[in-house]
Amino acid sequence: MPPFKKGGSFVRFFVEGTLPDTASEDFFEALSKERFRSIESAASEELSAGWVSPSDPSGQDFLREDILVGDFVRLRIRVDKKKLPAAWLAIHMAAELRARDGKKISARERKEIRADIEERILPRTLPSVSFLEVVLVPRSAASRGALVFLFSTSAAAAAECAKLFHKSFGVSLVEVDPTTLAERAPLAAEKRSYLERCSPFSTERKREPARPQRARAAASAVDDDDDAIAETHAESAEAF
Amino acid sequence: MQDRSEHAFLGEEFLTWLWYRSETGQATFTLRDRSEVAISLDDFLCIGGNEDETEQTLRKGLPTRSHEATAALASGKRLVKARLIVAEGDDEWTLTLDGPRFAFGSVRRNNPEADSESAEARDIERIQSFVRVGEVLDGIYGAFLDERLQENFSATTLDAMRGWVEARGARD
Repeated sequence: MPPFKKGGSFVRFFVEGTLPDTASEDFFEALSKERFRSIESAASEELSAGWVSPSDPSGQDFLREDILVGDFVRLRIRVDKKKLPAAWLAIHMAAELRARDGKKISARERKEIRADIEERILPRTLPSVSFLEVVLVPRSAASRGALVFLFSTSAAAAAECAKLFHKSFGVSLVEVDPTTLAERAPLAAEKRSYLERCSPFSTERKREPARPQRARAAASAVDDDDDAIAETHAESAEAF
Repeated sequence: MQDRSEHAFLGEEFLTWLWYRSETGQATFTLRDRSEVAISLDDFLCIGGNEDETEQTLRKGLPTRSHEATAALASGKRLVKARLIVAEGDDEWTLTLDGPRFAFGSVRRNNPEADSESAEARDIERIQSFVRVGEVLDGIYGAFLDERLQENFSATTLDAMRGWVEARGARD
């Protein structure tokens, strides 16, 4: 069995719903039911994703000793994608058009030619293969439930992983992010209520906007007038 | 690109708060399980803040000390991603945390691996290390939430953070 990676990137998911006991037959049956299925000889562009065990990339065997590692469950998702290479499509399309002596063809005819090329070429085209490492922590202290580690940060990989968990075990995966962590944090009622209302902070110190020069001069004139009025009043008071 | 979750900004605020804490000598945390952990920022920062704003990436050397970083903070930007060094006892990890997604990038444990009795023991130790660094960051995020969700956060912590940004500006 290949060793588990020393370093890497990951996202985590809370598991919503009940997983079968990971040591049970039900768990292994569910894996086997959604095992990877080959599309090597498929004649259309498609994607296949399914479980494989760390030591068997074909998806035929799910040996307990490969999958149950201490308190953890080590899984792998194999994703194969079959796509007609654009360069080969262009080469075959050009050959088809040359065979028609450069006669203009309609969009419908072009589509038919493409389908025909796909039918001939795709069975001979090998799919691209990728593996997603997954670790299931059945009882995580932090989440007080099961936690799934997906060793990829791609959104497409996260979607594929969530889809496979749902198909296999009927559970939903909820990505661990600032929102879901806050929702599950043991917060007092007033903090939870404030969470609903809080908006992003800024470290910028807002200052009193500077008044334009003309406005400053006008304000200063008003201040001078006020002084003049005050002085006049004082003089009047003295006169009495 | 994945949609940002409702409170994704809390992840950016968390990283910005960690930056403030690490530069003001408050980067040691006692988690709920009573373990003591420390955190510091390393040589990669991505600064942005609002979804449509241009992001600025600073790497190599001492990006946290740069004029660009100070200017970004002074204009109200937040840390979107950062390379962190996390320490707990004799264990130390480096990783890049994506704040809005809480995604862990290029996680590496810096300690030499213990000689394991078997391949299974080695794998268990490696998996436990990933699980633990996740728990540590969750725990520190919990401490941040505790402080952030106090009604007087703006008058206390945020005011101190603004003072820190101003002091950086004066120093530059």
